[in-house]
Amino acid sequence: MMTIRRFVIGTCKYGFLWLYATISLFLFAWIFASSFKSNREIFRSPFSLPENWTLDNYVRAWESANMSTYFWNSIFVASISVLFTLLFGSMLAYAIARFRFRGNALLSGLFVIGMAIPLQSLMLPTFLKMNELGLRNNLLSLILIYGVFGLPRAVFILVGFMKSIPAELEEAAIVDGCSYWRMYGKIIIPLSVPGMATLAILDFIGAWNEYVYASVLLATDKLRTLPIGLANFKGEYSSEYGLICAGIVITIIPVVIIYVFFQEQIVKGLSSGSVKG
Amino acid sequence: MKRQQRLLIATFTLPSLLLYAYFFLSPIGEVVYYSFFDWDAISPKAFIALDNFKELFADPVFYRSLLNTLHLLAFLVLLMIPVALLLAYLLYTEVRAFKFLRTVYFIPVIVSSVATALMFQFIYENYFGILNTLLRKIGLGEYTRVWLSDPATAMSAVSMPLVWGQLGLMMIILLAGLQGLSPEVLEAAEMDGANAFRKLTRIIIPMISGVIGLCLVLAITSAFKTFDFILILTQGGPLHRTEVTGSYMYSEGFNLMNYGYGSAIAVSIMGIAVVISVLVKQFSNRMDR
Repeated sequence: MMTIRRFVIGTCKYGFLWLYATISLFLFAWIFASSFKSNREIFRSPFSLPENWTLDNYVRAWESANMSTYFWNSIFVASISVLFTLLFGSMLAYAIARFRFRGNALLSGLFVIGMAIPLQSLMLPTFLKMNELGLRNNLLSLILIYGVFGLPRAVFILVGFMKSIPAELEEAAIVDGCSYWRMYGKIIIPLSVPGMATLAILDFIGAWNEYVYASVLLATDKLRTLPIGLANFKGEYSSEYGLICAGIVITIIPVVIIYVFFQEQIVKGLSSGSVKG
Repeated sequence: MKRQQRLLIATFTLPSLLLYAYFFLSPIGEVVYYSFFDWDAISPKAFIALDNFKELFADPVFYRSLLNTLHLLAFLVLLMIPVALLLAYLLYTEVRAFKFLRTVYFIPVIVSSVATALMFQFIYENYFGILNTLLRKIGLGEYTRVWLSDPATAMSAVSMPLVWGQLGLMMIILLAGLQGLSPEVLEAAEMDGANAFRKLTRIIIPMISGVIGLCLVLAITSAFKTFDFILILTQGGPLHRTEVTGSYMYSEGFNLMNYGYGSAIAVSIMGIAVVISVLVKQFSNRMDR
């Protein structure tokens, strides 16, 4: 009796877990398989494996549809904006976590508020501001926006992290006549690396995927980031389904690789960051 | 405080504070300011006080977009959170291939919304799309339709990519909540002979109600701020059938150049989001006590 019950429960449990997993995997597999097919083949047999695994769609997406340009633009924007957030965020967090001064609470409050504002509602003024500054249609505008918009989360994560570093280390360093700058560079930053790494990964993925701001700020084709370039496939190559699938795969692969290497940081960063926020 | 230290704090905080004030705080003020004007970017701004808001509160499209946002929210709350909770609970009760399953559930979270939207486009495609082909194969051909432009299904069809894209995030948040529970309580429940369902509804859900509350907040805020799927799949059409508050702001502001009116929509989105965050803070503070 007991074993039958356990069997039924086990079947239901694994049945549900794998049902959802299968649906998700099927969708990815369908896109992947279609990225090797010609249009005719997709129409004729949408569910079969490709007859021959040619890289035609990938070559065309990468070269003639400019995916390579979009790809490097995305790498450039995402990396520089992450460095921006890490540098400014860690300096701010160091001051907030380690020094008592008037306005300390106000300062951290200003940044915490930033986490409650839906960034999309600031699109219009940001667009006008970038226009005024002459930064429209310039990758620098995206770097500034992603970098600055990343500060609230950076302050939130790094202040918590730096507060947990024991003060004895710094006290000893002061006795040794170490300057605050050296302390920041030699003690605080190295000890904050785990927090900074989590932040860097999350911000990189965020910048890699961002669509709406990039869509209003960038106009020229050669400045487009991947999401804009891919969204434009829908218009320019609307009936070239294999090509669109190849574009999707090219966009997804880098973040999947990042996930495979850093999954513990990502999972921990996202779950603890939001549980506390 | 020593002068040297004061200088140091200034050098550490001022550059980022200034950038933050210029690119983040001042746009918050500006969007409110612009909402008091009639302005199309070409002719000069005309101050019209609250007229944009008066117009907004009488605008049937705005109400349509609010209603559609609630439709989206209903999918997130009634479909995404329960499924995420069930998956998290099942993963929590030791399973084989834990890491693999968690990866499969989570990957959609980090996939760009543009890629997700295009993938769902292939599900809904009329002739060879996954959904219609499957329906034909299992003999339900009469149920096939143009999912994204049929008024009866369009809003649900654009909601699904968001459900799929966020479910994994909810799942890991709930899983983290479950892993924070003390095992003794669950063991005690097991000793009492509580079955799995009772254990879930009577013990586990009440104990992680704080985390479930957090998921609700995240669902509410993302319903009010996500519109990239809609821009790509339907652009709010057919006839505003899939317009949500965010996409309405985007089309008024960037397609029709009604900067003032678009700002008024943005201000109301911001207002709703801030009110919700404050309510939730209060709620979670009460939970902590």
